[in-house]
Amino acid sequence: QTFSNAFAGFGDNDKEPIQIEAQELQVEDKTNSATFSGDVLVSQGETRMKTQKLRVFYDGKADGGVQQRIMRLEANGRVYISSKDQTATGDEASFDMTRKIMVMTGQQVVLSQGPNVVVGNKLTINLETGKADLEAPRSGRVKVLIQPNSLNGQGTGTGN
Amino acid sequence: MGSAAGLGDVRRSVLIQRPLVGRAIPARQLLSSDAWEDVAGARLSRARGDARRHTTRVRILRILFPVLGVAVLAVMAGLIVLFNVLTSLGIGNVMLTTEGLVMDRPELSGHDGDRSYKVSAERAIQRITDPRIIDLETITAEIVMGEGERAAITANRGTYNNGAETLLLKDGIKLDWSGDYDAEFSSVEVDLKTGEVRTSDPLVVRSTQGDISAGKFTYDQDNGVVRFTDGIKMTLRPGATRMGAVDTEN
Repeated sequence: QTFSNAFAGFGDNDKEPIQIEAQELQVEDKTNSATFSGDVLVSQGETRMKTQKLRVFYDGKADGGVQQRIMRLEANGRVYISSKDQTATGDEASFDMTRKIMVMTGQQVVLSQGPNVVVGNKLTINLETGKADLEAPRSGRVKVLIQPNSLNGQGTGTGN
Repeated sequence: MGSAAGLGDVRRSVLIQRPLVGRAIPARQLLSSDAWEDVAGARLSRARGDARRHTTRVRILRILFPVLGVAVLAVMAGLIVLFNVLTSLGIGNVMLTTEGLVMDRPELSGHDGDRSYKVSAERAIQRITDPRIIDLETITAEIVMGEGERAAITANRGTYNNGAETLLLKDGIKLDWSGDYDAEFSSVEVDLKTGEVRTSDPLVVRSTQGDISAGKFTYDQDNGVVRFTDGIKMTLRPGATRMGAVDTEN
């Protein structure tokens, strides 16, 4: 397991404010959802996410506060997530905040850390532990490119 | 004097009994001397003058009174119409100025079902050209949307359109939404019938856990859709819990 838990706590970190920029935001009380669209950029601390469309589902129970419990995020359209030295790109990504799991899918899901690149078409990251599983169910083969000396240069190399 | 006295007797007795205060004219002197002719002559010409003036006056009045009556009627009808337009506006005292009909501290209200609105202002000027358009100064508006959803809006200037029941506010607008958000607009248009709020100028919406700034904003109350468009920036402070609501961390 060669990737640091850079993604640990993404979207669940309560300390730093989250900045979201987009062309449009539509909040629908009836479906308890808010849809950001048009070059959406979400940033929190060192984590960035770029996508064309981001739907946020919150549970309607909490009363009118702007940020109720967020249950699920769905991003689609050239999704790019970067955190510390890791980036992941794909077509869609969904974050299940209750189970703290992010699943990114797409023709080509590319997970890179520094010079190392792994390509598949389904990436599952446990947001709490940062454990990342990359699968390639469609093509059946995961391509991994690891630069020889890139690992030992890394203090936090192995995830927990 | 018996009641059967002839016309002459009646006229003579009237003359004698004329109540000349402090100067009694002996009946005998009136009847006999030639003074009677010139006295009667003078009185005759004066009476004829009186009569002529009287008839002209009557002729004038015969035209004047009906015209006057119609005019008064018209004014009354006009006032009634004006006032029932104004009474729906609950007007304090009313002055007519060049700008239009100026009303002090008017209150407008309306409701349908559980949704109601009340708009009050320091001054309202009803345009003479179109009485449905009323310009307002220092406005406070309260819109109740039912189930605890209320919007309180204050603004320095605005225009209330009685026909379309819309309220256009400009200049220094503050909106407080059910105590959770407050918003600052440079202009906002409120459709008082459907409760839709929209603006095409930049705005900021703030609440304890986050702020949103956007170029345009529309809130469609019927199907509960809020749209911020024309570029938005949103900051969420996840740490800031709502007053009282505990953020249960699992």
